[in-house]
Amino acid sequence: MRPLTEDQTRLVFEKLARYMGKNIKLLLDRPDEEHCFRLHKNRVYYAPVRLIRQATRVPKDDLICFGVCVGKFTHSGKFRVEVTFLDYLGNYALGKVWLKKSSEMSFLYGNHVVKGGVARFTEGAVKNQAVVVYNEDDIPLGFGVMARSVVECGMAGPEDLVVLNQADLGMYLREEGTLSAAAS
Amino acid sequence: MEASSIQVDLGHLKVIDNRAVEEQSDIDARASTAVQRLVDELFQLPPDTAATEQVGFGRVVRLPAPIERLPREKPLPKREQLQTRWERFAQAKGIQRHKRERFVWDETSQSWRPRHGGGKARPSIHSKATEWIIEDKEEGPPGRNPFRRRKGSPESRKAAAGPTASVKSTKATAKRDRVREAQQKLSERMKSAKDALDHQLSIAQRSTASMGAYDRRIDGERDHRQRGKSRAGELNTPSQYASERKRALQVADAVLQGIS
Repeated sequence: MRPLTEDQTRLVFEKLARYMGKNIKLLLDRPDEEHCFRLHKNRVYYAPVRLIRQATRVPKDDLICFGVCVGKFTHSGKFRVEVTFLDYLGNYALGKVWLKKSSEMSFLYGNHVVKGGVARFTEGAVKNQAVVVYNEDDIPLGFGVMARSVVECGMAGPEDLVVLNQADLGMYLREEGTLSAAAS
Repeated sequence: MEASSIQVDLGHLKVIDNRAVEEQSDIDARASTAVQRLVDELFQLPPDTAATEQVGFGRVVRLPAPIERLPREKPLPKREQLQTRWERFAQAKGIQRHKRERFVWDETSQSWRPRHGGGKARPSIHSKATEWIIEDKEEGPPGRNPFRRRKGSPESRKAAAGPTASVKSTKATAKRDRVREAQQKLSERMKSAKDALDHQLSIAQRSTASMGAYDRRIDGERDHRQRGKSRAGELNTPSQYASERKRALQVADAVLQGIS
């Protein structure tokens, strides 16, 4: 476990800013408790300072996880957000998509979202914009990117892809072995 | 009933009675009945007179084709395996190997001559392929060889042949020049006396067992050893949380500025 270097911080914030915009600063300016980011075995964790202090007492090889896993750095040095960070993304997201009840399960099985399954979008979403996907009860289910802009969606057929799935809650089951909490 | 249950296969000289044997004493009687039936049918066959004469005595007949098909004694011959990919391809395409003959008919000498090599066949001066005479109707000084004129001047032939090896090599030359230029620049930089000296000093100061830690220095000699960057301020425990937060916020601001 160690703090992120400046380059790594930039990569993480650049990726998070795609979902949260300027809300990324809210992750550091918290009224309740001081939080910061730490790197551990190529994964980035977001945790309260109190917890980080305690985690330093655990040897590196034995430490599995602490706080919330934001994502991981790939071998090629890119940063990838993981589904474990969904709660924060859901709170602060700018681009949002709400699914109909009928297509909720399909999304949770890892499928992309077709236009027929979308209840509504946030206005002015453009192509390739990162969005968080909610169900009708405003519970975040996952996140992805827009396959086409909202304007283009108006012209698309009901079977055309609208949101490409990057992560969804089903990953907790499907990828149990590789998600940060279980990875050892 | 009894007779109809007996099957005769004259081709194999075989008779079958496949009813179940109920009493042991019946076996002999049934066997003789069956054989009698076989012999009866055998004698009903038309005699083969030619064969009878050849043998010289008795009665010779030609047996009909056998009814029952006996299994083959030996395994089926394997189809010849095509070894190479080319052989399979050639078979699929129907390409057959065709050997080019070594001798060809020579019109000139009216004889078979080798295709290549000494005494080979030459195109006839009478054949259309060979132009052995041209009318010299082009302008120019008389007495010039019209064949040579048709061939063209050496310059025009060169142009038709395309870029020469020397032209082709100019690209390689250009690359070599660039490399040389870069080398030149590098050496110039190293020549700048101060840099070179500092560089040498840095090497010299690090070239002892202690990496220069315990060496005596001359008065005024600076420490030129290159060291790793200090990691001060990157403590693992967030003791200076305020400064870490400030740095992170700076990065966040820079990122947001880059986006907007």
